[in-house]
Formats: sequence, structure tokens, C-alpha cells
Amino acid sequence: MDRKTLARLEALNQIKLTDTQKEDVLSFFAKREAELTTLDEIDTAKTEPMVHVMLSTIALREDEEKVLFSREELQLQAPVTDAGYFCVPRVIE
Amino acid sequence: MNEKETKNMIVDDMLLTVDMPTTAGSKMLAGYQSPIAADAILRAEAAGYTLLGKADVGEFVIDLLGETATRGARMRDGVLKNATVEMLLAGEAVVALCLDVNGYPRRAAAQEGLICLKPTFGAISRQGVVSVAPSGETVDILARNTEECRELFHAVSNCDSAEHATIHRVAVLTSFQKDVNDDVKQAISTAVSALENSEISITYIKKDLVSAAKAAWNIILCAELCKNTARYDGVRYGYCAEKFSGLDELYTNSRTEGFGDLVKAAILYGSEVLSARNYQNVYDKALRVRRVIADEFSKLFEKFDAILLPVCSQMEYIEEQIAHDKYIAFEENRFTAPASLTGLPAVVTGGVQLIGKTNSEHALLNLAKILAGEGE
Repeated sequence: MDRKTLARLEALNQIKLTDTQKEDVLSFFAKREAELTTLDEIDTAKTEPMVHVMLSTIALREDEEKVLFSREELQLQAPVTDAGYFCVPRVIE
Repeated sequence: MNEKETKNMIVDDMLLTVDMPTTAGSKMLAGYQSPIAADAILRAEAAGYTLLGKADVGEFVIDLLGETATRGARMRDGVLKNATVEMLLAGEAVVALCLDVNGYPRRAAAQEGLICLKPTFGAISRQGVVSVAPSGETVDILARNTEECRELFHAVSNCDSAEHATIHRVAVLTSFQKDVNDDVKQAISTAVSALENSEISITYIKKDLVSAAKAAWNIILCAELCKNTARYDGVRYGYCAEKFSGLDELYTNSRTEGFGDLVKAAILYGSEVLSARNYQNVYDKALRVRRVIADEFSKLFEKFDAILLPVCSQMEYIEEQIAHDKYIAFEENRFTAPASLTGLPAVVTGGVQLIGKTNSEHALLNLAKILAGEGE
């Protein structure tokens, strides 16, 4: 992991780090990368990835249309709204 | 204690509540008011439990014991403490529901002499939690004794587990011996003696494979955290920066100011492991190692009923350690990662952890009863 790649990750995740934080994050990455050798030692050539740990079939139910909350209730937490819209800065001039 | 007080409950700040804000220990969710309550809370209340309040947590509960909470680390005489456990020890409630993402409830229970039940993945509904690592996180129960733990599990779980199941064969995992201090070794020794005195057969085994669980869980945890925190953008809910010029700066400033250092590092690493250049060799590899470790546990459970291992490397974390290494949780989770990674249930008592077969919560609690010296 180098600073250039870190800068790309920052932009991708819309997070900005200070110089001190960058050093800390690079050390975090270094530790995680060192751990990867323990994974490389395990033969997984004939193993399928395990995305879900639940071994049994999940019980399914029929879809039911329900209105649980109004738009107004769900928008109460938003910083700025207008006539049912979430407001953001203008993006098109 | 009267009958009403035996049903007083607290939850940690990762479970949604309608009467109190849910902040997940993060500035990003300061003041957030949920329109729904967590399913586990609703089931507990239907069974007669009273929710007294919520306990502070570390940001998205990926830290050791809550040291990254917005109010700062909770220290007593230079030792790191956990808010949920302190409320239980103070007698404010008898049981607690907590979200276990990176093992904090189990560590907290081990260090303060409480019982923690991490259920089989899916046994307690996660509907209504602030999700961080949805493929492995569980709603755990913290309690002062096994019967209080069992009663709440019975109320909130949605699966059947034989109540009178017993455990006869325990394997003690020695792979972590070099990673723990003398206090932890003593706790293991005491537990083994108690089990042997109850005529439970003990076998010492070494499985280095289980040690790989930490690396795999760190990858999966960070990848899922990265995806689950992408929703926090300051527009629909949560923290919104006051100063910005343009939409990109709104997002960037809100997320930069809203997240703490540990969460930022984990998000960036999660993004890296999911990138095109790393997906196959790192993330996909971690998922395959997950299956190898799960299969390894299945083989162990053909010969044994439970696996005994440590919960943490030491029985208390001191201020200097936390100040020196802000990422220590991603090293300490080596002991809690195996159960998180595989979805297996675990119980913590007397400073040790016992991992059991799928849906063996009652059997584990019966074993915990012996270790806790609670008698018949």
C-alpha cells in the first residue's frame, strides 16, 4: 500500500485523512497485509467461497405490501428537505 | 430482588429503539431517532422484560471494549471498562442485549466475571440493529448468571435448542497458549479442573488452522463495514457537515468529520480488499478460508461437544496499551474471530470461551453453569 493508492481510496470512499492519520492508516494496512500470509498457507483450490454461514434453509414468507411509515416520518431525520425531496447542493449549472 | 426487577434489561446503542436515540457510538448518528425498534427488544418486552436504558458503545462496536465511543474511553484506575457491563454490575439491570461484531461483549464478560452467550448466527433476529458485518454479527446476551441468560434467550430466540442437552467431551485448544498471559492461563486451568471434577472428558488439541480465522474475519469485517457505512452521506439522516461547497464536499466533509479514526481505517481497508486487483486474492480467499475453518470445526464436533479457548490475551487492558495502539482490537479478535467467522454459538464464563455446535446454546449454558459454580 502506498500513498498514491491510499489517496485513491480516500477519494473513492469520500473520506479525507490528515498526514498523521495517513501514517496511522498505512501502519494498519501493513499489519493486515502481514496477516495475509496465514491465508496463503491454506489450500483452498477445491473450496467454494462461504458467503453465508447459515447452514439451514431460511424460512420464507409470502411478500406482503404494507405501508409502515409516511414520507414525512422517514424524512424527519434529514437535515434539509423540500416538498418531499432531500435537498443537496446544485450539481448542474 | 423482586420479580419485576428480575426482568430489567438494558441494550447497547447498536439496537434501534423508538423512545431513545440510537447513535452506534458514532458522531455520524448523533441524535438519530429510529422509527422502529429492534426485533429482539420487541420479543423481550412481549415476554415481560422492561427496557431501562441504553449503554454507550465504541464506534460501530469494532473496537476492544468501547474506547472509541464519542464520550471517550471509560477508564477506572487506568483500566479500560465497558459501559454495558458496568451497568449490569451496578445492578441497574440483570440482562443486556448487545451486538457482537468484533467480540466486545465476550471480552467484557470474560474480564468482569459475567456470562455472555453469543448465539448461533440467525438464532436471534438481527432485524433492527445498526448492521456492520451482516454475515457474522450476532445479538449477544450478557447476564449475571446462566439462568437469567437462558431465560432471555428463550424469550428472544427463534429456534429450538434442547434445554437439557449436556456436554461430555470438551477439547481445549492449545494453539493460543503463546498469545495469552498468566492470568488467562490460570482461568483456563481453573475451568479445566472444574470440568474434570464434573466428569467431563478433556482433550488438548492444537489446530493452527483456527488461528487463520483472525486474518479472514478482519478482511470480511472491513469489507462489510465499508459497504454498510456507504449509506452515511449526511443527506437523508445522520451527521451533516456545516461547511461545504458542492455535493462532493458535502459527502466528504460529512464522512470525514462524522467517522472516527478506527472506522476510517477499516473502511479504507475494506475498500481495498474489494478492489478489482485484490478481490480474488484477498476477499474471495478469505471466504474460502472461512469454509475451510467451518469444515474443520465440523470435523472437531464429530469427536467433541465443545471447544474451550481464551477470549482475550489478558484480563484487563490498561490505558497505555490503548493509547499506544488504536488498532489493538484487530489483534485481540484472534480469540473471538473463529465463532464470528463460522456463525457457531459460544458462551463465555469464568474468563474462558466455549464454542459449541450449531444450535447448542442450552448445552453450552449447562456447561457454563458448572464453570460458574452455580450448582443444580
